[in-house]
Amino acid sequence: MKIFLCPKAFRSNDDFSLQRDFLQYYISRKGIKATITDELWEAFRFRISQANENNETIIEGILADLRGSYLPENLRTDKITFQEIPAEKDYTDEELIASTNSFIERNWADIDLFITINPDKYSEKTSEKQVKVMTLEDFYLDCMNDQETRELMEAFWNHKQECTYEGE
Amino acid sequence: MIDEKIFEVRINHISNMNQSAKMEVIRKARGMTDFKGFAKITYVTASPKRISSIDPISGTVMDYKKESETKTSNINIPSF
Repeated sequence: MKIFLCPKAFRSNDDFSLQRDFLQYYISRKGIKATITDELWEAFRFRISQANENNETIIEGILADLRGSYLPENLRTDKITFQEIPAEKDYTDEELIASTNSFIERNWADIDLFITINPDKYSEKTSEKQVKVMTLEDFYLDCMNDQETRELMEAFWNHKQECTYEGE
Repeated sequence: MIDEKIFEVRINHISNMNQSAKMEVIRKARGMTDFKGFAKITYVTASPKRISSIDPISGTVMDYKKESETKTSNINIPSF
């Protein structure tokens, strides 16, 4: 199953932390990764490096964890060291949106689930091929109502409740 | 022994693992009170990727994330 995330699915200062936790749990339980554009991956790495300058170990640790959940379209590696080429620049919101649109045009046939803040924008495309296009919140609700993911949802909720009791 | 650079850390459920990896995780998890079937798989080098270790974790991927965030509490992870 191929999940593609729009840049804004990553926003952390909003009300969707529960749904984002669930997406993380879902990815981990299913043993898959969510695909993102190369530009978003580079912007992510660039911003993390900038924010934590001179702390190479910490930067590498954060990136190693992120690589376990998110996959850029192309992983650019150095031909000699076989390590990922360091991020060179940041991207504006407009550039990230443009690269997202380009990715969708090129890969629509391979996408099973596209999480975006604006699913209505893609209603014409969904008539071309049956792709689930939904917000993070709707994805959470969809899994709640789906027979196949009910067990996974129950395990997620049991765990959430345990965490709440421990924290009390 | 050369210190290899960690490239990727995946938290995966044993239901997605092959039989031998699953057995290794279960064996290592003996005695753990909060094992919920999740394991931390560490890969080294970017290309080709190679598994350097596979270990059970306490709780789920969310516990792992919480622990990582605690360790790096003074670290700025930017949002989009």
